[in-house]
Amino acid sequence: MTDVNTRTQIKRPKKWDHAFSADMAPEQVDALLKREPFASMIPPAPESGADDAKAEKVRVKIRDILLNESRLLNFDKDEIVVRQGDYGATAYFIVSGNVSVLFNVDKSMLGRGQATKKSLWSHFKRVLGNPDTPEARDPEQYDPAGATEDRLQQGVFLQDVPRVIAAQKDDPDEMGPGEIFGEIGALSRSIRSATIIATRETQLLEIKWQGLRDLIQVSKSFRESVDKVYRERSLRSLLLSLDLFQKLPESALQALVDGAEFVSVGKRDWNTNAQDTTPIVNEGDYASALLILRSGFAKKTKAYGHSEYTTSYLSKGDVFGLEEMLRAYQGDDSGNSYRHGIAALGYTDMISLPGSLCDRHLFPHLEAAALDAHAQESTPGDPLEDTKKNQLMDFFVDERFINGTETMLINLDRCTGCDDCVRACASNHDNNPRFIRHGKQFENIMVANACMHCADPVCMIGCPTGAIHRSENGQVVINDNTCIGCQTCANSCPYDNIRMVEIRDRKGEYILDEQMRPINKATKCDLCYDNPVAPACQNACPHDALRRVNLADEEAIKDWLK
Amino acid sequence: MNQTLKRSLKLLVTAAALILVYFVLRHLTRSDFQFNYALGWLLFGCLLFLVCFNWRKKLNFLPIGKAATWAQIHYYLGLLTLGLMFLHIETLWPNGWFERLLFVSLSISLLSGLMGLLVSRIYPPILVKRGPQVLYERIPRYRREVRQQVEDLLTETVRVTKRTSLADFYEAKLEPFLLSQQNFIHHAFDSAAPAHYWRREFQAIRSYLSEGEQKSLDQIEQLTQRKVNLDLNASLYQIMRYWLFVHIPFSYLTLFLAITHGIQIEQFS
Repeated sequence: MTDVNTRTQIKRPKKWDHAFSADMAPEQVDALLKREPFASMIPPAPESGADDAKAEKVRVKIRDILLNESRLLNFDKDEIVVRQGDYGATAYFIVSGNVSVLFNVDKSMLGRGQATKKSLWSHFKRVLGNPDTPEARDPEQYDPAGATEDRLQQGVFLQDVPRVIAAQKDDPDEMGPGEIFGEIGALSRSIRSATIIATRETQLLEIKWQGLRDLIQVSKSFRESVDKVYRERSLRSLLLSLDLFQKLPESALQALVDGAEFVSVGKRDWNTNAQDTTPIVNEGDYASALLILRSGFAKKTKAYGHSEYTTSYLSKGDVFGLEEMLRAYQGDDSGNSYRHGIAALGYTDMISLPGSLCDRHLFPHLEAAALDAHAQESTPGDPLEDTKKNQLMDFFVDERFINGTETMLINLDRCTGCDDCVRACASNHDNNPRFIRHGKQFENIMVANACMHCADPVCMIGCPTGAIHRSENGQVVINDNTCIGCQTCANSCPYDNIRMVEIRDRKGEYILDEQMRPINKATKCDLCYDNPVAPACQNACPHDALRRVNLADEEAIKDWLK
Repeated sequence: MNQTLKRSLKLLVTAAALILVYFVLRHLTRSDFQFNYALGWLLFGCLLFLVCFNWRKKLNFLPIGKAATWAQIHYYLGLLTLGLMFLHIETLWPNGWFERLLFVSLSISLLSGLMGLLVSRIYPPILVKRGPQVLYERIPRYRREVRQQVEDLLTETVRVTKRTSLADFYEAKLEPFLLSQQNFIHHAFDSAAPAHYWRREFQAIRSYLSEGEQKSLDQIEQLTQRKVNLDLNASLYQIMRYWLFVHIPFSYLTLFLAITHGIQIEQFS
């Protein structure tokens, strides 16, 4: 038995062991605190000592957040700050200068770099040097000194800016000091909805979404202002992403944005009870509004016999009630009531556009052909056939797997249990497989216990350090260096696909903290994001029995299963 | 295109390749020796490529195609190799002892491969049909759990009914069955005999038990059927895994013997 005193010990990892930037100086933060929007977050210091202490407490809190969760970046004229379509976990405050907001810029002009992939040689070395002990780490990698992330793809400039601006539908929005952007992608764990470039020399404060979340908790006024901006911008970008709204004049779009209502249905913590469904609209209700899904999933149902059957599923960007409302707009009385019902699966965020608003600002701008096509009465399917057809999808929905974009499906009619997939995964992760070849089954399909890289990764919500994040290409990955082993992500994952492990040194001994407790780290499938041939599990299966699939792509799944 | 049509086409292409090789080599060579010499090298190349599949599995980070594509090539190249082997030896049983050794080794390697291919196509649907499927590594644990549950039930039944008929039945019949994996051969042929056997055994004892004991018997019967299913899973997984313990060593042995055979030919022919 090894003497406990000879075991490798490190300081137990804590939040803010790794500052976002080692270059962020306290003096810079103090200067920032005197500027908007931070200055107004701190309550004015009154005469009384007690309130003075409270103001000081808030100031210290904000100062700590900025010191550890933010960094200052300088951009030159025409330099790209964020790209539309990238995943981002940070927001930006404009300290000085200006930025311009551009939509649908040609991707070839964005100078997007390739995701960092390790070379074949480094993979070869890794395979040869894989440790024999599970979860082996080099303790030195947890040295808290230094910044955790570098600014990627420095100095990419947008070329031919006048032409890009001329190609924009409307004059680009310009933002100046004190304003914030990037908060939609950061707070909703979704892709950036616009490209932002600096229009002159600009200094920005980049803040991690955890820092933004903490600032929102500290200041009520800041929370309200971010909420307002967030709602308006996310609404506008969602509408612009849908074909139906793309040809609207700016005035009509603005009227819709102003008149839209936000509707949230179901429990936000749906991951604690994945089976909940909450009715949103009942079949036969008066068709009063057009509904657009912002996030989450809903099922569309139709009454049959003593119950109802599911005709289809709705996800982000899907529109409900268009057919009925258009028919009502065209004077057809049968359009007065919804022909289907919808129910939220877990938690659903929707936008409701009242009928009167659509009659004035949406439908008059649609071309006649489009009007007729949308208003065409959809032929009701055979309920029993629909029920049979939807059984696989029902299984995915009932188990909430529908959230997965890279779900590991195993065709059990082909799987021989050879474990080549497990071995391939292990060889890519220092001999540690990052999934379990086991899971819930429907007929010959198994959904294995592997991270599904969800459309809405709820695992990311509570991470105190931002260790679990989206890579540039959208994979949900964990930074082992900044993970403090708090288990928040593992507890949040509704699919039990994140595992906590006790790490060891290269000799196989557990790494302990100052109190001789083992150090934990969260681990999961990272889709081999740094592997030139990814994902290894899928590539290693000799029987084509394993695929990583987007569960919303029902046709692709059925094609594969044939 | 459905699977059957695809497979038929691939078999047709393999057969056509074999015929093509024969005629091309006959056309290019001037004697039987030259023909066999060229065929030997081709056979060796095929063997080398077949063995490469095993190496590819270990170097899965290399961008050299999916394992599923390699597997398809492996299957049909294996069949082609079988045809080339018979063209090369020109008989069903070679003359010299070394050639016989090489022939036996290659035959075992090819036949075990063919068996592996068949079981990997036939067994997975059986496991789905007879479900639930379990992880092979967890089977010993599940087996222990089944036995423990049966013993707990028996203890409780004997305590309540004060009768030992069920315990006697367990000791005489059931315990040896629950202790270890059973009926390997039956399961290898997807036979329902083990399930029927236990149904008959339970039926036989049922009429001699009290009402309370019968209730326990129902639960024990369910657990026994679970054990039958665990044995089925274990047997089929073992065959699907362990055929490689024949196939791979004999493949490497064949490669080694083929190299030796090549050296002999080069040195002494």
